[in-house]
Amino acid sequence: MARKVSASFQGVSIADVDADAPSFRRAIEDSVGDEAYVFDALTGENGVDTSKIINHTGNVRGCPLGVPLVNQYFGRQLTLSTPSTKDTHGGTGELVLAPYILPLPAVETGFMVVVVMTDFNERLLDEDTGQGKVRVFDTTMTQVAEVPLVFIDFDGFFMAQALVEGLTPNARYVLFPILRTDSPNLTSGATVDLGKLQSVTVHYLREGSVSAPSRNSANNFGVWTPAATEGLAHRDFHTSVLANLEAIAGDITAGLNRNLNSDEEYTDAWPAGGNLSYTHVDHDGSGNPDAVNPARSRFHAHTRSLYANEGEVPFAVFAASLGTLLYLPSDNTAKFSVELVEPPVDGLTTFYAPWMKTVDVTELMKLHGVLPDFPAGASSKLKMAVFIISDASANVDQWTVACKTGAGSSAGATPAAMDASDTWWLATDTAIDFTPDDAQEMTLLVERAGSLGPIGEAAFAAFCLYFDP
Amino acid sequence: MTSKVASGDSLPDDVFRSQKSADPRVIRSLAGRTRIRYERATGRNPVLGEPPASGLNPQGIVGHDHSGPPWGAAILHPVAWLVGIAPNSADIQSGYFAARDAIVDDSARALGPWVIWQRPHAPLPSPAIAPYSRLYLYVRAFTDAGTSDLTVALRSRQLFSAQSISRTSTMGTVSTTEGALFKEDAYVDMVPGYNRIDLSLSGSHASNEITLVCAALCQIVKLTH
Repeated sequence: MARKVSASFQGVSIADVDADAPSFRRAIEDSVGDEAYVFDALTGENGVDTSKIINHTGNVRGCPLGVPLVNQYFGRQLTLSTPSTKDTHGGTGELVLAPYILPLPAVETGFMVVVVMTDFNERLLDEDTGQGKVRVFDTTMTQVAEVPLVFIDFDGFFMAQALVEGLTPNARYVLFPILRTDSPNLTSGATVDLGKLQSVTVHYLREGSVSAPSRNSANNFGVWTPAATEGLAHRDFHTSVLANLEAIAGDITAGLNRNLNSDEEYTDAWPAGGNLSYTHVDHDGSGNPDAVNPARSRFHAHTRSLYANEGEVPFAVFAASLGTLLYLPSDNTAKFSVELVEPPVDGLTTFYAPWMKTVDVTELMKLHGVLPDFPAGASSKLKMAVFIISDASANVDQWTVACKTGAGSSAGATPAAMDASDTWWLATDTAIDFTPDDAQEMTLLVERAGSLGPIGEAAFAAFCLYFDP
Repeated sequence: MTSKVASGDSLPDDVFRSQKSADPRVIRSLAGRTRIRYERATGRNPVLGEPPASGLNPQGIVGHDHSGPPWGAAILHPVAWLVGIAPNSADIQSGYFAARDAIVDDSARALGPWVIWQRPHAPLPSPAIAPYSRLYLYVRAFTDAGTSDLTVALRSRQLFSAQSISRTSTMGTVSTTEGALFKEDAYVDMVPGYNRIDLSLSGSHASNEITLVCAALCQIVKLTH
């Protein structure tokens, strides 16, 4: 059966719907075809070309979601103890306040970095510019951006912003918000109170203004009401029926009208035409309402619970910095922000990228929160990236990182060197199972094969959890 | 390209039960709404040189963005977080944990200022409450001995604004076994853009100290609160 569907949007000329215009078959035919295109793109049904399926990656595939990448609270007092010789662990260099590994989705080419501090020590800023800076690297630790981080006294605290632009979409980046500890204003051997790191935010620059939608006092507009086991009961129209249309048939226009109303409620998640109440409801597959991981999610939300080929979306869950490190721009290498003893005495001893004192499986970092209603199990597109620093020639690849969620622990991943310095490492774990649409722990697990290596073998600096189809 | 129909009021079913199907206004509605549906689904204005028919979403661009009705069902996820280094100082060398100590005892411990950027979202007509207009608190905590009830005072305000909204919630009982706490009244009100959050945590027991392992402010509903 030749189903009527547009290959691309046709639209109807305003001349064809002028008040005195006859009712043209082409107007109905093109509208039917365009609506079918929309239905297929939203649901992935009818063998639609995958290049049209809505997954929020831009072009005709849906607008970007704009979910912020970082909103992390620290509340950490930063105290630098006896900073010593430049370019040594615990010494002086560019102090990376909070390193991040970030998944930048499709369409996005930059972001705004915001750092909030209290009791800020202005001697941390560059002696020439009076600013900090933000450096951004790709996953080969090649710098791709460097912008000023400008602090201002603001609403009772210090707030700094840096706008990063010109990045390549659909890639991961390392972000370094930096203060300088090698300022000549800092006396070697002194203990310096640097202030309190309160929070870091990384978000996209988009802002609009919308008003609340309307709501009627009754359900005036009809929406298809499928059975509990059905999809949206979309009405299809045969090309021959439309091609041979002599007079505008109410059967076709009424069917198209309901298709549009159903599309509206499905896509917008708001009653069609401002109806008083929803026609659709998420349910357990038997028609009983189910708000948590429903077997039938009747709203377009990339759950694949209603349509198996519905688009899956890139979605950042959270990105966390685990502690400070030092960056040496002279040779693009990492140094620890503390002296390598246990416990550290010199350096930024109150907040530094942690390292392990055991080879056993250890819960290093955790967060408890909700995860989206996306496909899980063998279909999970949930991934984890861990950013690690080390002394050169360290056996970082003897470590394994994994993620534990409400559905158990992932398979685990081995870090790989990001560049020839062997001081930057990245581990990525994929297909992480989780409990959809529900609260659960999200824990970073760390273990090592064999015996424990020397201090400085690996320090875990940043973590991110994200969906990446 | 010739201008395409860009508007259309919704039509009730009874329009199609009469002779009105051929009415140009009916055709205009169907064609105009089809264009709106295309834009809302794809995020693309198909007609160059014309403004979009569907209007701009809360981000100021075309298309549904899952920021909550009527711009698509909202997605459940953490919006802001305080991650914890697990309480295992024998196995982990971390200034983070060593400096944290006990966050609360019977005197309040303040967390903040916490500046959070909340994604733009649309308001909803009363009594509906937009999904991203509230973030709910999840915490994990444990005590050094016995039990203690964790109470949290939450305050939020738009950055620069002098007006804040406050509430207090007794989230539950914390024991020596680390566990998660959630309470329906432990949430902060949010506006699009920069928000300032301040939390104050306290325990009910004078000597049983609570350690806060981690905390997350999450978006937890798809349609409305």
